[in-house]
Amino acid sequence: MTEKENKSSHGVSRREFLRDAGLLIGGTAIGSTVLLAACGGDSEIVTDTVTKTVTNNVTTTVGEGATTVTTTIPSPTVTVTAQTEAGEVAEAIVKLNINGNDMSVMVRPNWTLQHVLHSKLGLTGTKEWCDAGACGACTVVMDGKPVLSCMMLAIECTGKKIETVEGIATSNHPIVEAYKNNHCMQCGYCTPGFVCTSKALLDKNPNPSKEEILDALSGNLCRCSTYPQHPIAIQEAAAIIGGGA
Amino acid sequence: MKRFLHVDATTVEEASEALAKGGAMAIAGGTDALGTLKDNILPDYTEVVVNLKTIEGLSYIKEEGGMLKIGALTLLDEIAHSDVVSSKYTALAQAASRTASVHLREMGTIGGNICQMNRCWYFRNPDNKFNCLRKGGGMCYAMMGDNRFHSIFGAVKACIAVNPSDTAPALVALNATIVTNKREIAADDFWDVATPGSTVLDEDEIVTEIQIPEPAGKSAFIKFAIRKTIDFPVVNCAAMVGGGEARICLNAVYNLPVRATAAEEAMAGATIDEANAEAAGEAAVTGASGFPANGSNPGNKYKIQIAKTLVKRTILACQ
Amino acid sequence: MPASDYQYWLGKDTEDLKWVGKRGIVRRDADDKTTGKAKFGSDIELPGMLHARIMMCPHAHARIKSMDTSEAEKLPGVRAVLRYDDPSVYQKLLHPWDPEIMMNFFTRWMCEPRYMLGPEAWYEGAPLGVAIAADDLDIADEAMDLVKVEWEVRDFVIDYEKALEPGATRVFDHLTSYNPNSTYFMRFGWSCAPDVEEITQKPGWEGVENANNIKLETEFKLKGSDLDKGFAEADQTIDFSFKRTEVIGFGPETLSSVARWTDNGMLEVWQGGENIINAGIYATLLGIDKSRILTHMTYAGGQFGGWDAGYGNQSSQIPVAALLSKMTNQPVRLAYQRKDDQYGEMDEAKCTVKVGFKNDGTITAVQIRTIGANTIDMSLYPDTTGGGHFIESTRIPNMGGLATCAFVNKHGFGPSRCEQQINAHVKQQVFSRVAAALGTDEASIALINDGQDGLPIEDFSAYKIENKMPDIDSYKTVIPLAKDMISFENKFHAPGVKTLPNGKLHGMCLAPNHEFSNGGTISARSFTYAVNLCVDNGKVFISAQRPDCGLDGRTGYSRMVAEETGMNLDDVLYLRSEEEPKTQPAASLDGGGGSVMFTIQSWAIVIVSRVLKGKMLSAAAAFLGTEAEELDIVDSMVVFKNDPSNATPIAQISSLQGLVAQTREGDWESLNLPAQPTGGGGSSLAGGGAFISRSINILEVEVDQETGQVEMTNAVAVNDVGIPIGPETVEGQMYGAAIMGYSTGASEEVIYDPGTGVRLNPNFLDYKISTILDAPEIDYQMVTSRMGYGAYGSCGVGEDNTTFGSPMIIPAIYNATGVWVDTYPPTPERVLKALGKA
Repeated sequence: MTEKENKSSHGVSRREFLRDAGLLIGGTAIGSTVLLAACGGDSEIVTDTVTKTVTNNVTTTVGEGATTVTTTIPSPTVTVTAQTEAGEVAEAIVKLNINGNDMSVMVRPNWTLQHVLHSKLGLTGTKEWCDAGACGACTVVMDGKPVLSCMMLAIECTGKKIETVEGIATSNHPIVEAYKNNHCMQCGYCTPGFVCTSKALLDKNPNPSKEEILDALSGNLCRCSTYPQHPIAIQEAAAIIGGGA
Repeated sequence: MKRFLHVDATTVEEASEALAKGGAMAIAGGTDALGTLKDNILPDYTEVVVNLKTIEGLSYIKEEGGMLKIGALTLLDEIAHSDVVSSKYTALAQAASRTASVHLREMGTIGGNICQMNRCWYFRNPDNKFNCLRKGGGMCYAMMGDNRFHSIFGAVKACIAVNPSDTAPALVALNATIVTNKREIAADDFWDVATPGSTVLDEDEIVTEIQIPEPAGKSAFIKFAIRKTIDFPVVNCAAMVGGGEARICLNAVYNLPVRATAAEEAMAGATIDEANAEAAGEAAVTGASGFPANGSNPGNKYKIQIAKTLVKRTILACQ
Repeated sequence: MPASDYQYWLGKDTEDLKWVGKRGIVRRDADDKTTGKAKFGSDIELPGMLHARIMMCPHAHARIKSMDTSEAEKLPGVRAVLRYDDPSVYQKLLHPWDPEIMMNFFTRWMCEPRYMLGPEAWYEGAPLGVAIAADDLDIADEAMDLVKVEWEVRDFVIDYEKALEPGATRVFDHLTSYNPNSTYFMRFGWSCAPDVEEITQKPGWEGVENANNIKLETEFKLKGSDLDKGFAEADQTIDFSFKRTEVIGFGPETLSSVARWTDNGMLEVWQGGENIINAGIYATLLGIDKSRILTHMTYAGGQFGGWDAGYGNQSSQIPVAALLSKMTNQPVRLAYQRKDDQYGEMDEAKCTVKVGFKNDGTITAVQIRTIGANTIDMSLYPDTTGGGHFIESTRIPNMGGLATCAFVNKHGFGPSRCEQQINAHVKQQVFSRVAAALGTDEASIALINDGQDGLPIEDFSAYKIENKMPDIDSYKTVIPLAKDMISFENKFHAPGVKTLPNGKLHGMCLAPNHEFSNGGTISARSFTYAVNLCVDNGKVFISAQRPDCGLDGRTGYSRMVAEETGMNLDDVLYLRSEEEPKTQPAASLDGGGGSVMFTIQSWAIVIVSRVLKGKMLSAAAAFLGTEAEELDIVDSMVVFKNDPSNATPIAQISSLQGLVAQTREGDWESLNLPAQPTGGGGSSLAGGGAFISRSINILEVEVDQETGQVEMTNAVAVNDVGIPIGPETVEGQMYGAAIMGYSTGASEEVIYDPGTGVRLNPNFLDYKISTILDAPEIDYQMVTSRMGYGAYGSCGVGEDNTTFGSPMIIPAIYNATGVWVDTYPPTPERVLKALGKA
């Protein structure tokens, strides 16, 4: 395989730049542990890495010719920490609004939102199943819509309001209790994705018919085939919401 | 997914400039782009991803000057649920509502849907395992291998992959025009067999708008897939019949959307009824051949039967 | 068969049960799984953890001639590179012929001579060559890209029919020097039902000069069978054949393993799997004692046994992670990519069948010729060659056949839900075809032929009475119930005659079925299930492996402990093994599994609970100054039998603190469970299983004749579940397993490129699992005869509904169209071909 090597003005190819940028990122969240704990993140591990990450970014210079520049671009939600001369970003600190909290996290452009939520912020309820947009296990609610976090780049999710299963559970949304009471899980791997999809449905349509429920859930696969229980649970939750409980 | 660099474009010009440098891929909804990057299907891995979503003002549906105008970044879900599209440009609304899954329609854009790369499980096999003709290699593996989902109308540039877009045939049937930062292209002329793309667009060319004239008659779209959702089409069909005019387009049967011109001629000015529709269906597949079964490969001649059925049913749905 | 009353050893009537069978109890795992708190293997994150990949072979069969890892080693962020030619202590990982290893693997179905991290691979996507640990996965992946390999690409064969032709490419061409006396074949020659089956088996390499791709050939015959006589007695005979293409479990979670070494030299592993037994395999591969391995059992994402063991699965992945961890002195996660974890195979086979029957529906003879690929089942379990389910649930007196299992260059094997596909397919097709020939339905054929081991069902009355079961035939309960639920009388019709208002053809298939367990004998496997119960602070803690193919064994076993000890359910807690790592208990053979294993192991839970209760009463008697006989435990309190108001909470009786009861203390003799037959297995009455709980599935389809599209519209599942331990969970097994079976039957198959042997659909776009819109609307109902083999008369249900759900669609299409589709799944091209339209 031959790689096209597009040289930057300083003679460092993009590929080389990326390779060296690999040194930078140690990885996890930057931000308040209190905020992270509030949305179900693992506060201990996060605290542990905060200092390290920051230090690394500030002090490291990468590559011969290419430099790591810490610049703040006009949008306050993205702080670029490594870019080429041409302004192509290799990594950045992005501010994500997750479960109502602003969180800053160091990301590489190739990291999906699912990867960042799951592996960098400890929100492990957002699962990777198919990694191809074909199963719904990584569903989160973004600006009120159920979307697939494995098919979105985290760096492109700034300014969005993101809800994960942890946030939905913490808010005591009736869908969670309804899912528990109606045995909507078997192995449980796909369940968080269903919860997120259902929550988004109920936000939009507080009294969905069975047909509307089936349509809304049609992008969520369940290998254990718990399918028959979900409409029951969602309508139960809808009744609770409708009853003002 | 391997590493790449990233640029947020704020204008079409910026995006175009970034793409012009080479080694770059534009991303809108990302539902096809990320799939190709994750599977690492191309010989040259993308170095820079250029985000188009940060460009303002490319998401809209409006009727203006006797035509429908849709911004390239408009989500498929918005098109599916638009009253104006559903009532007057029905085939497009139906196509958008049958694309991918309910989640992906909240993410994918119309611009991305018409620019997605063609489907072939050799071309798209992870880690570029098959260095096929389209990638500069020496053979078409599908031609010799399992081609159950491939072209029934032969090859284009020796490639038998199919264009899998659901909205593409609707745009052809509705005689749409695709506006880019450089020119206006009739839907009929928009698709091409390129590498890696599936359109006539230049490397730095970006779709900005879709324009559709008010159709003379009713239109409809029907998709045949293995499952009721998520799947790409085995065959799909869009038709606009009425006002003495007929435009009928099949997709997923060839490298490009296929105008069923013989069927159109049969239907132009004709009454929409079972007999005429059936005859049009037969006419639509007169040039089709497909591949025979061979060992574990069932071949794809069955797609001919499905294609002619869809043409018939789509015409009938224009009543 | 000695008289045994094990079904009713417990003696309690259903109405006396307080926790077993009670509705409305929320699963213990519900909160974890609904809120995102549940930690699966892929969720484990340890401080300082490295991420590793292993190379996957891009060819169907290839050997590494040379490999250059220098560029990969130089990549910043790479921490360890472990090569196949590493001259260290890891030789055991590379050499599969070590008898000790083969024995260990073999007990866990590692029945193929392949190895992890070697220089050669026998299928595309097989791990080999090199494993790389790096700071993160991006770097590990990029490093893998930098490894340069010079491949010796070898010939391959992926079609099992071609593999069996004379002169075919040899899959394991290095085996010419194989020693047939090694442990590899030691275990062959099993018979699941030795009293009723005659089995002749020979491994393919017996006699090296004739070496070919035959893995094993099994000739089987029901004892006393005379096929010629059976066919002579028949009024009609039908010959037919069909194919089942490869179908896989393809569970949602991608396999990954985490390993780290503790300061005191223990190996700590996190496995999202079912069996702690695998620790024995890691230990052997790593050359350490298994007592040095601490296993954390995390939740597993829908594996149905797929990761249980075997090549390329957890048991060989963990040792590689452990080695990388040792090299780096850091925790390591070895993770597969999605496409690398397309394991969990079910049978791939072609069956040719001849059936003879009388005009009243009595089947007089069935002859089966099966050939298939790779799968464990056709070789290890002779009665799953297509005949097993006839033995288990019919009185057909003449039955036999020949099954040949071929090695091919496809990824391998490993059990899944369920490994008895071919059995179910053959039985279903026989019943459907005989029914169609006689103008009746499958359930009627099942009733006429009802029995076991070739004997009529009436012959089992004595057995049932002896075992204090109701003397009923549960077919007679489930069949009318299911037919009523789907309005059978209004819907039944001859093949190809019913067009619906939407223009489609209506079809229906009935699958009379029975519960089954190929899990081995009840006594042996329950006795080896290690259970430890302990009283602590007024609560009883269960320490045991938990079966969890989604049925939440934790709640089920807690119900049983509460039932038997008198504790309230809230006071019975399961120690979570992911939080409390364990070393492998000496006695434990199993602990995973689904509803069948849950049921088999239920005996151990119950008997240990009884032991604990005895100890609790004795200790309480000493404390309260009375005799144990005077006391009972009710609602977590010790009460005087003659004065229940005189009650003392468990927590207040200090002498109970720390009481322990374990499996080996159980009075297993008194259970009088059937003895384990020679050679293992257990699929007939004589072999340890009385498979007399019947069930039935009904599936309705609509066929679009013009496109070949088949829509599954409605389904019914009625199972005699014996007794449900957790009713909602049992129902979940019923509809869940049925829908999974319908999905495998309708649209799932692994597709290979015939030219290269490379998989073409290792993803969830092209490998098509039913969505919620594709699954039929299903109605279900339990029947509770208490005729199961487990405690309280319970039995498993998951496997039978999956396996019989799978073959139903093609008979249903036949009922709709009057034509037989010859291959599963009935995709549009196959349906249109059958209809003469493609």
